[in-house]
Amino acid sequence: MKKLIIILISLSSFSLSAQNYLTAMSDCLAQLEKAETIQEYTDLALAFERIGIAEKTKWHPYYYQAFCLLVKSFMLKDADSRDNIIDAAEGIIKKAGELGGDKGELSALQARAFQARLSVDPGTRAMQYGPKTTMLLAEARAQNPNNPRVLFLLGQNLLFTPAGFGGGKEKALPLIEQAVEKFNTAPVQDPLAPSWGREEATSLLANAKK
Amino acid sequence: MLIYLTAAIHTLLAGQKISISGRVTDEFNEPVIGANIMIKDTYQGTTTDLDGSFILLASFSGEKKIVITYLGYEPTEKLIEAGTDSQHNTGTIKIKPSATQLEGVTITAGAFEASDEKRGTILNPLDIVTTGATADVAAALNTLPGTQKVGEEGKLFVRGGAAYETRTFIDGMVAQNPYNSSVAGVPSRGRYSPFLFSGTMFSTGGYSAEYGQALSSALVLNTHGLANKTQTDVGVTTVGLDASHQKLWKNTSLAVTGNYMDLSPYTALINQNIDWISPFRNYGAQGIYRKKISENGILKIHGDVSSTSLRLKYPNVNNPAVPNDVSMRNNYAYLNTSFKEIIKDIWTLAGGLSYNYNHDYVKFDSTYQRITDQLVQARFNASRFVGNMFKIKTGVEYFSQVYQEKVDNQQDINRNTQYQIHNYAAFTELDIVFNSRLYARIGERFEYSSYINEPTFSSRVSLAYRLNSNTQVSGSFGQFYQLPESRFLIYSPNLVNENALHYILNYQYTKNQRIFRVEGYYKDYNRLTKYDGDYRYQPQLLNNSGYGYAKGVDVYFRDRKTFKDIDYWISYSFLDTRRNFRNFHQEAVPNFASMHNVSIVYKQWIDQIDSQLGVTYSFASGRPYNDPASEQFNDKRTLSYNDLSANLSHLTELWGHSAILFISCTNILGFENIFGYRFSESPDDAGNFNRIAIEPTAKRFAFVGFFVTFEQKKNNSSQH
Repeated sequence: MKKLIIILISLSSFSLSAQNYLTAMSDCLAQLEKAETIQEYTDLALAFERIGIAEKTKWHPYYYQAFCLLVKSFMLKDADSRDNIIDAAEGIIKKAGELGGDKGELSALQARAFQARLSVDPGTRAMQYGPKTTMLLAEARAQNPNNPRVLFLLGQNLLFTPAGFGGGKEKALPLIEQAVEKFNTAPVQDPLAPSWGREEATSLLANAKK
Repeated sequence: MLIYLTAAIHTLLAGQKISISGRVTDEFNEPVIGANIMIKDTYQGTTTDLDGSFILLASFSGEKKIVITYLGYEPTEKLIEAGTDSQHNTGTIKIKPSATQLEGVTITAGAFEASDEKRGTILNPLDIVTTGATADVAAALNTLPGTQKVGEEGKLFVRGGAAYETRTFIDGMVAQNPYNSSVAGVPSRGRYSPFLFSGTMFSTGGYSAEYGQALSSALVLNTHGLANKTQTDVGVTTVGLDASHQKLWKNTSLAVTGNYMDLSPYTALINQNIDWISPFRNYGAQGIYRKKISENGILKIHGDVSSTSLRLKYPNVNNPAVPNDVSMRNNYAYLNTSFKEIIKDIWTLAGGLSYNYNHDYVKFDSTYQRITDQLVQARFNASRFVGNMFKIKTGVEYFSQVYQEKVDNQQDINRNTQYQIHNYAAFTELDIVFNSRLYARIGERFEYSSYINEPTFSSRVSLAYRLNSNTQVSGSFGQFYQLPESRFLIYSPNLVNENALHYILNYQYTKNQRIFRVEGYYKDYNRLTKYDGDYRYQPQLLNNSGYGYAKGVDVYFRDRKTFKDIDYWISYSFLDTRRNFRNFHQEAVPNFASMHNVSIVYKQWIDQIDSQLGVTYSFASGRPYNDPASEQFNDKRTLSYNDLSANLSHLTELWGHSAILFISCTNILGFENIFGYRFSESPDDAGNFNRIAIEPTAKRFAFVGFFVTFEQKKNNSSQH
């Protein structure tokens, strides 16, 4: 009898937890779709962190926690607070990497962190973080030429880099076009896999073509 | 039975809903807002409110832990027992700052940091290029408080100290000759291009036990890491040419640079205060090698050679009709090898080897002097965190210097002297973080110098207290030793290390790209080198009976936020100093000290013309000079010094390559600046001493340069 109870418990708790994880993540991701305010991104970052801590071995929660923090960093005004939050996000991206997260996706997110860093103080940091971002994304692209986020960010970065410094519209446009194409044709896959960037890329392409 | 079983499972799995409430504070009992509260191993959680309080409705049974996480703090766990009661109060839970937060701790007393990486820094590397009009490291740092303007030298004079009291370090290694050699009346320039460095720590006092052999100031320059692209740079300026090529491989980069500088076309065109025979000319070459030796490790090799010459007619104060014929040739070589490695995220190791060679040949009419200075240095440091409270850093250092001086006037004087000194040093420094507001740094440095056979122990202590996240109050005390200048040391092994004590109090407020800081200091000098009259080469007349003090207040305000695209800062230094040293026969204000120094730096990015404009205004009150006709020593003062300099960097393109047009000019308003006077040795028949004003080499220095960067056409690794 006792044995049966234990088996029953462990069985159901196992399936329940796998089920739970997917449900909890999907729940948060649905909220992320709709999130707009600093408070919403803050709360979501904490929710993803809770899932990450409870699960211990999953990288997606950390990925999204860092993602939320970076979005938040762009919304804040104070330079020090922004830098602190980017520090935290970078630490979390590293953690997601240690848990075996997708290298391309994490590079794209790290590139986002560099962009955030740059935007805190463009006058001072553009010289350093512009090339750093390009280098990271070029590496990520070499590993996986099909990641639309990598293509989009690389294109975006080149678009905002003066032609003389290795950037410019000419180099940027084909990348963004390719990104939009890959966004549109990307197969439906793992519901937890990162999927952001499509709208941004589409509107960037429209603007850049003007 | 089955119902019972299902019920049991249900209870065990879901438990019953209980409410857990509590409050989270930091170590100072201040509420922590927005901390993440969760039931361990579940997704259930909540967030603390403005009061630090939380209420969490959760379902579980038996014992569970709650976990509290908060940015910059250690995750904290607390055991909860879901007893019969459906309400549970944890009381107040205190959380502790994490080690990463402690890593960011800097003590602001005495230190001006400039870096890309750190926040709230006072200057960034670009500032050095866009401040003043000369793109010179020393000139840019001269706009910071705590420095005195000494126009005829062009070097850093810090808080009443002479130029030799500031020591320059590159990647931790000594740079023995940071300035171009020059002759009296022609200011030096820094040898190192500001573009070499990604970080600068300029300490105006109270610096770490890691640095020795400097009485007043340590200037710590850190070069760039691995280059981030392959490119070629060419620069054409009104005073010369330079070209460099940099290549990047996977984990290695190499840059080679050649430059030629010749002031003759310029001096022919622009009216000079100096009667040049052959103006300043310089050939130089550099090589910079970088290798990433591991994830966090880097090896840096930097080599530099240069040759400089100049010749001029030096106004002869004793016989104005016959100017002196003065010429100078300098050969210089520098090799700096350093590495840094982080092992298992615990140990940080750093070290290096360097070689300095400097040869000056100076001819004054028929007298010539040759000085050869060679220094070899080796250094190794290790540091690590110990728990959350301590960081320990310890290191050893050795240098050997050989210094030779030959003087020959082709009549009665023909000296050939040299000395060699071996210097051994060791230091240990402990950073203690009592809590997230109070930190201390305690260091001890030991040095032993062979030639003079003297061991020295210097203690350094700094304390910082953070009133809130924006405000820091800090204080520092330190003992500093420095060997007498080589030109004295060579004539007497009976000299001892000169000594200074620093006492510093600092207040710094930083918020959102605005910085305000005030620093008061007192410096006590002892054992300064003295000699009688002009006879520094007579050992019996050299001694260490000199002494002095310097006290003052430095104020700095910088604002990069209020006005869009505008960045400005204001520095003010008040200095009260007197000393009795060198050939002084009484205590007096030294001639390099001015009581008031002001700098106002204004920079604006002008989008319409893709240009950055920089304007710098500098003021220094009059400096002392000694009029032999006056009964008092050094009691006369020059008129105050004023300068308004401007520079414009315009971003443009040349054949599709990025280019910068740089235009600058000093003393736009044409102030008449006089740095001091030289007097004749004896009075004329009317009993007056003839005098000659020491002036800038020209009223203005204007500079135009065009720099193009050729990048490898993108057809590279980013294509798959």
